[in-house]
Amino acid sequence: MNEGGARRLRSRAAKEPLSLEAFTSAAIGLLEREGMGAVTLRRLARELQTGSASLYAYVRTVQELHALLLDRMLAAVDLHPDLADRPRERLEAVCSSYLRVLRRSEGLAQLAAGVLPYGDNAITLTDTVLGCLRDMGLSPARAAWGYDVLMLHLTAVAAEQDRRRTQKDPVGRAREAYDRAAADRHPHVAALRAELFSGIEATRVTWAVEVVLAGIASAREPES
Amino acid sequence: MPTPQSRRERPAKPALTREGIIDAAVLLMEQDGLQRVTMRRLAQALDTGPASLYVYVANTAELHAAILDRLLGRVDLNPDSGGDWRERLDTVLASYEQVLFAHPALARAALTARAAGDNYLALLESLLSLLAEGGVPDRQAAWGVDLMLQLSTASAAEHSAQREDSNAERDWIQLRHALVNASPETLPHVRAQADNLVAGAPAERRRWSVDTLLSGILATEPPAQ
Repeated sequence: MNEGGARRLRSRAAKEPLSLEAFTSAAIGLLEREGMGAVTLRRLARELQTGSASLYAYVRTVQELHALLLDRMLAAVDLHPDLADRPRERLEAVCSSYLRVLRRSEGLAQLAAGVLPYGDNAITLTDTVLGCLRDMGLSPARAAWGYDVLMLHLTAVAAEQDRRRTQKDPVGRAREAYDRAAADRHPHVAALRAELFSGIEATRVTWAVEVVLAGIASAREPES
Repeated sequence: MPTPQSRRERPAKPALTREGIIDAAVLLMEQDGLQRVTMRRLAQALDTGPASLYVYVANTAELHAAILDRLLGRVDLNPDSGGDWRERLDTVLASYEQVLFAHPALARAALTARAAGDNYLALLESLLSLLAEGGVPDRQAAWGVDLMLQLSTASAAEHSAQREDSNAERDWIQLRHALVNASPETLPHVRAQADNLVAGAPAERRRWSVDTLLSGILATEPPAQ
């Protein structure tokens, strides 16, 4: 490099080395402003005024970036240690808080649906849910497999709600189709079409959690 | 400027139909993936303008829902596996998951865009008739079928996302490592259940989930309206 080039480099304001903290807060900012779709390594490099290469110190792929972000967001789940002696209540409160966190940003729930939960906050959440299930008197194997069913359900609920941000009246469209279901071709759908849409969402979610918990308690012992 | 060709001399284009548009969209998806299936690309493939497509399909979300519905025609609704209603229900859901699993982007789309086409209704009908055969009361069946499909969709989305991710194997190892090495002081339950959490083949897990949901649905009446 010639002298002039070296001088120019020196005279530039020294850029702070990118810290993990700065990196993740920039990613979270992007997520909260524009949703998960906008969180790519290229966009993030632009936000941080750096090259993609310097981001590779923290994450190698966009999937890794998403996993890191999801885990950061999960830190906000309220684990309700105050309810430690009431496991069922605690479990319901933790589930509600998890749902609220996933709904905060567009695309977060869909992301959660595809990421293995190995981050610190995800594992802490797992431990809390398992503890509640065990304290409710469920066997270890039921608690472990039941945890999976419960979390999968909550994640799906949150992901489904994402569509309301992007689609106009999705339920109305589905409803019209169900109303057209002819009694001769789809007799069960036709007979139950009012019930298929009855109940407000919150009631449905409460019912579903009850179903899962009742199911875990009464289904056969997993053969693991 | 080239002389415009007389319209008469051009070979007649097949008339656009909704069916034909969805056929082309499915073909495009199988070639290039769902992300590339946009109204603009589809119009190009059909040698027409996007405006003519909007007559048949309102937007990309509707287009994706229509593709999803078309593929749901591949779900085996009448398994001749025999067995009781619970087993047949599990077989239908397994086939549904398989169809979604083959198309990761579609599985993700199915999480957020509920199909409401003919094939989706046929799937719903098949599940509801099995629940009726099992004596599940109407309201429980109506609410329960939603829950079962939602869980199957989420499970297919999860598994297909991992299949697509080149780091899935490493993530899986990382997860196992995190579970097995969880601190017994701060994460006692994870530590104790490390093996149970990852045990069981996917099919066995699915059977157990379906059983669990059915038991729960039978035991839990929806609240009075």
